[in-house]
Amino acid sequence: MKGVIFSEFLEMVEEEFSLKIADRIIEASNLESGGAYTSVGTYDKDEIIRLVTQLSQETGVEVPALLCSFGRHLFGRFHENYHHFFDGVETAFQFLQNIEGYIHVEVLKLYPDAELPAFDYESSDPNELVMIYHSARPFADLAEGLIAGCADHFGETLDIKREDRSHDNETCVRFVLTKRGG
Amino acid sequence: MSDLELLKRKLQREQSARKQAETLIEQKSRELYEANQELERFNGELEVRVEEATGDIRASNETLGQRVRELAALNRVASAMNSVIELDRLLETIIDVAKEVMNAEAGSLLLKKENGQLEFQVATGPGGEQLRKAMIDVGRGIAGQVAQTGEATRIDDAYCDHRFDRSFDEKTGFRTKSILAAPIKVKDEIIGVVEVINKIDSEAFNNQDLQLFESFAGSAGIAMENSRLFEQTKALAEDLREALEQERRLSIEKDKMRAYIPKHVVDNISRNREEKLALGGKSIRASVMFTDIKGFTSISEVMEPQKVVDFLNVYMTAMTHIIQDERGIVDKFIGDGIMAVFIPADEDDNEALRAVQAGIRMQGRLAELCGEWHKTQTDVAQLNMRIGINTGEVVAGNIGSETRMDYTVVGDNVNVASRIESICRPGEVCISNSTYDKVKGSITADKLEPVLVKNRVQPVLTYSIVVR
Ligand code: HEM
Repeated sequence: MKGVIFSEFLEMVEEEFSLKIADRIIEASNLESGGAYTSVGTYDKDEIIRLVTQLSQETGVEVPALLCSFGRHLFGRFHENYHHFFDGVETAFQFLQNIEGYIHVEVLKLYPDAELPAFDYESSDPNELVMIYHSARPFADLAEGLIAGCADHFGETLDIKREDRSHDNETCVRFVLTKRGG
Repeated sequence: MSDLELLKRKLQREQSARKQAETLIEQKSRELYEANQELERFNGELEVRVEEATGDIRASNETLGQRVRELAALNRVASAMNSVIELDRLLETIIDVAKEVMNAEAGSLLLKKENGQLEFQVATGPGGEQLRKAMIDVGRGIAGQVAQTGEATRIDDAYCDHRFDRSFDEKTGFRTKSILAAPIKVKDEIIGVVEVINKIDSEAFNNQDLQLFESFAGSAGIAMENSRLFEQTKALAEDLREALEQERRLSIEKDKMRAYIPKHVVDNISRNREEKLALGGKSIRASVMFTDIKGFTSISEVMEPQKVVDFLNVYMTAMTHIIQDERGIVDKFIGDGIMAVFIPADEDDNEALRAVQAGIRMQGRLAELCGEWHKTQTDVAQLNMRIGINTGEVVAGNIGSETRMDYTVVGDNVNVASRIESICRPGEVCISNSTYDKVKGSITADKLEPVLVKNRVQPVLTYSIVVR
């Protein structure tokens, strides 16, 4: 996993909780990297899982909830650092539908060793978008947080329904997004 | 743990992260450098390959260009074959094309003569004019050898070749270096040799040039043979045309004569004509008639020109008709007058009587015409005609230059006929004593006063036949 995700995560922990907690989960996680992440580096994805798990223990907040709020935080950071992906995009659905065919494609150009999920889209109703998440990694909660962050960003309220279809080594989650009041 | 301690640890982590980043960046930049090197190498290779490809293209382009030039050359000889029918011009064209296609300084073409020698027909380049018509023995010099063996040859340095004959260079002041010489063949027979001399922009000709030149000489041979055949055909056609023209001319003349000269006379004249003796003419017996309209000139002056023409047409047609009906010949029209000749078909034929009868009928016909014209054309209704006839020996033959000849009769008796007409009273037919002698059994005539005629001592006795 790219260092950018780790540094953003630790930054969030420092901001939302404290430097002390950040230091403590790093220490407790017994990380190979020692918790020193640079955005261009690549690290074991287990480190993020251990960090999140430690944070959960530290704070008593469930891992999914933590990943989800990290997703919201991350989306805000993405907006700051990659605002060109937002040019000409007016709705959350528009943005979300750009991930698979455009955003993550560009991400892969920037970080050729990035490990990205795949998304399938289903859409028949303008007020509904179905996104199916496929990944070798268990980050469906992160995805949900990113989706929620995206809706926040566009000032929309989305009902997010999840249907887990994961099996063996693949995480597969069907997100049904419905615009509220739309 | 104190906040300071925490910050110190965070700083440590960040320093470590920066080091990682630096290492990564260094690693990346090395990768980049290597990639760059790879790119440069690739670019270099690409350049080489592009160069190679360009070279290939250039080479194949050259082959193509060569081939195109080859085809164009053969094509030009072929089209020259169609357009240049005259052999001399064709030979010049062949040399012009050869020089251009082979990129040569000079060129020459030699043809085998009946005595077996080769003769320069065309020689271009400096001093080439001096070589024209120069002769070479077959077997001597390069051209001579090519003519003997029938093999095309390529010489890179003429002065190093024992076969080369320097005397022509000495004559012209031209310096021969490289040569291509090829035989010109017509159906396996060597009829000549074509040469190009000194390749421009290059030391010598190559084997490809030699091959091209050989096929070029082949085409030249075909073109020359075609030209020869064409000229032969043209000459034959010309002969035929002349023969036909001659025949046509003779047959027209024969027809013309046969109309009033007995067959034996015509045949005689024709033969004479062929022997170019026709100018002399032949003495025959004939009756000559002259007619004239009294005062026509003054009438025509007051008449509208178109009416004059209309009248003459009707009048002449009517009179000619009668003359021909009596087997006479209208020899010529003299203004409003007519000269007609009546020739006996054989010994027993009374041509004088036919002439007199024609005269009488003509006066009658004019009277009829005047009756018709009276209604519409009062000015010509009062016209009167004079007719004079004389019989005797006249000279018949072609009078004039050799190119423009008229068959006619001439002589003193013709003049007498004209003179008699002039003294004739309008509306009458006047005849001479000699005519009267031939018709007196059939015609009644009044004797007139004898008439004096130029060149005659004796006045001519005349008779008048009153018609109206
Ligand atoms: C400007 C927008 C975005 C950028 C620049 C971005 C970029 C990235 C990057 C750099 C990673 C890390 C890959 C790695 O470490 O190997 C990542 C992973 C991920 N991205 Fe995005 N992303 C964007 C938007 C989104 C959104 C809107 C979603 C929501 C569905 C999303 C879903 C994910 C998930 C779930 C992962 C974790 C890897 C996985 O699950 O396999 N991303 N993204």
